[in-house]
This record gives sequence, C-alpha cells and structure tokens, in this order.
Amino acid sequence: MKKAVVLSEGSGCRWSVIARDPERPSHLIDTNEYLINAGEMTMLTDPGGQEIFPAVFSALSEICDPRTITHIFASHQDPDVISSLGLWLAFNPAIRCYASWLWCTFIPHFGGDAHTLIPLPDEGMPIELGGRPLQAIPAHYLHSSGNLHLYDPGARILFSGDIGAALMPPDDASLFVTDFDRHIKLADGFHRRWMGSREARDAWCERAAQLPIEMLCPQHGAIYRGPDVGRFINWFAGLPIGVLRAGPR
Amino acid sequence: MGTADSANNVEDFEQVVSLNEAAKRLLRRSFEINLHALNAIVQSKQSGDRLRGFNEAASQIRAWSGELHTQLERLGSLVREAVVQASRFVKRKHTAGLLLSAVRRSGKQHGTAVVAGCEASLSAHRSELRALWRRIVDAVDDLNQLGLMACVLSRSAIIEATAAEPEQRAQLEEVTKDFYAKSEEVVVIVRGLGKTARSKLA
Repeated sequence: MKKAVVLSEGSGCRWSVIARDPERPSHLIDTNEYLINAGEMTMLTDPGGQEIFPAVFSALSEICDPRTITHIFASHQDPDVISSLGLWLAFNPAIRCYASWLWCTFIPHFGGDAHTLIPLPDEGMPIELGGRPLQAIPAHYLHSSGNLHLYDPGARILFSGDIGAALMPPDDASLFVTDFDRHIKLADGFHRRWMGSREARDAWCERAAQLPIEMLCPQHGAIYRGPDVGRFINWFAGLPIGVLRAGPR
Repeated sequence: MGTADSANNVEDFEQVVSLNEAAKRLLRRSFEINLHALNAIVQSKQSGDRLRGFNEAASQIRAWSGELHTQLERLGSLVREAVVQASRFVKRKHTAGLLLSAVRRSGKQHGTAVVAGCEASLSAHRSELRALWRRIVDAVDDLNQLGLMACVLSRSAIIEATAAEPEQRAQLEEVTKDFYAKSEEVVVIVRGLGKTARSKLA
C-alpha cells in the first residue's frame, strides 16, 4: 500500500504526499497525491485513478480524517489524475473540485454533477483553503491544453502536475531527488514527448523562476528540493521539445 | 443502484472512517497514560517505603498501558484492513452500479449473467467485510475489559496516594485523577467503537 509522508508543517498548514505503492500493478503508472491540511479544511491534489482509490484512501486515513477533505485540485483531465472523482464523491458528495474551465464538462464523465466543478480561468486564480492563500498557476499545453499548477506562497511549495515528472524504476522508492544528474535522465524522455509547446514551456519557466520555491512536487516521480528546483527549471528551459520532436528517438 | 443504496454506501464508509479516527485517538491516549504512569513511578520512588503501595499500583498501570498498546495495535491493523476493504467495496459497488444500469437499459437476455456476476461479487465482498467486522468486535471486547481494569487500577492508585506526605499528596492526586479521567475516556471511546462495530453485524 501507499505511504503518507509529511513534507512541510507550520503556520496552521501541513503538506503531505501519498506515494510509492510497492503493491501497485506494473500496468499502472505510479502517481503522487498531495494533501494540504489548513484549518478545518483539506485539499487533495490530483487524487489519482479509480484503480488506486483504495490505496490512496487508506494511506490518507493514517494521517488525516478523510471527512475533512473539502476540495480536490485537478491539474488537468487525464485518467491517472482524476478518474477517481466519482469514488471520492461516493464517500462525500459535498467535495468540490477545482479544474481548468476547459475540462468542466469533460471531467464529470468521471463523476459529479453541475455543482462539483469549480472552473479555473486560463490566467489562474487565488484559492483560499481554511484561511490559507494558495494560487492556481497557469501551465497550459504542459502537457494538457487546460493545465494549472498550485502554489503555496507560505510553504513555498509548487505542485507541478506532470512538469518535473520522472518514470522511476520499480526498485527506486526515493521520495526526493538526491542525485540530480542521475534523476534527470529518468525525466528526460517524459518531458521530450509530453511537452508539446516551446512557447508554453518558456512562459512557465519564466514564471516559475520568479517564484520562491522550496519544493517542486510533480505528480510522478521524486520531489525536487532546494537548489534542485532551480536546476530543474534551467534544465527544462534548455530541453529540446515540441511537436516536431515527437516520434521514435 | 438506487438512492437508498448510495446513502448506505456512504454510511458504511463513514463508520469505518470514524472507527479509524477513534483507534488513532486511543493510541494517543495510551501514549499519554504510559507517560503519566512513568512519572508517577518516579515520584513515588523518591518517597521510599511509604509509597510502596502507590508505586505498585503505578507499575501495574504501566504494564496495563503496554497491554493496551498491544491490543490497540491489533485493533489498528484490523481497522486499517477495514478501511482498505471498505474503499475496495465502494469501488466495486460503483462499477457494478454502472454495469447494472447499462444492462438494464439494454434489456438484452445476455445481461442476466452480468447481473448475476456483479451480485455474486458484491455478496462475496460483503461476507468478507462481515467476517472482518466480527474480528473487530472481538478486539473491541478485549479492549473494553482493559478499559474497565484501568478504572479499577486508577481508583487503587488514588487510595494509595493518600499515604503520601501532604506536600506530595496533592501532586500524586493530580496525576492519578488525570489517569482516571483518561481511563474513563478510553472506556467511552471503546464503547463507541463497540457500538459502531456491532451495528455492522446486526
């Protein structure tokens, strides 16, 4: 089963990650779910696919009362991101889900009704969670055409969806990047193929470089901390990507 | 799946979650009681023979706390299993609901096998859950006995504390009363657990 690990705690807010399931079947991509507890409210980012719902739910129950989950943040519409929505709503029909406006009539195919989705505009928007100010940051076309990240200025944590993602070998359970040069090889192919727009990438890198970020938390693979955050942004800014590069390498 | 069925679904799930939360609360109490008992032993040892009775009671409380911890670990692992099973059940039920609805709408004969398969799978899962709840009820019953024993032990500690010198008596009484309050809290939480667990077998 997955394990929940606290990443940051202070000023009435706690970030945790639910990651690394040794029992996960190999035909499912591994995912990280992040949990933000602030005041009496809890938000879950990219809660994952419906196949892993039991693993996520039980890991999360170890460190928080799942009844406090009031919101979900979906970076985009992929099944590994949000296909468990219907199951979360079976547990608590009052949960509301932030997602790009672009996907607000698509995501309900996974569950929910007209009131479930809270549309995020293209330019992003401030989100308040239990008195904690968070910010939805645009990351469109990286890779989805309606794609947003979540920034916590208090904790200096950026939940970066598929950006920073790495496909880790099954025997590597490290939660944090410890050797950047070795790790980035695992992220290389993923970013070359999934990230289709150089313009979008340049805009994101410029935006991210201006934010104070202590941790860059992707949906797949290890978390970047401290100087590795800047190293990643620089690496991504110089990576040859774009639709013309798709195809066999 | 009808509305009533969906409502039951949520209720089942919530019961497992509240059980898990209660088990986590009990574990915290067990840790606090252990600390209090250790503190009481240290204090009573300073007074020598005069507080031998209190020291004995505090040592028994400490041993009790260790036993509580072991029993809570047993319950905790069962509850964790119940959380996993309940979330799997919700997932299976959700999928079965969608399948059944599709089959009913199609009105085709071949749907009968699909309906039977879904119902058999849900029924098997229900039986597994029921067996798990039975084990949880047993674990809760053992915890209940321990809770009652804690109340007896703490009353005995309160009586033994009267042998202390007046300046120490107040301090020991405070520790033992706090222990008594925590023991009562454990009994209340365990009763709540028992009620939830038994309702699943009704």
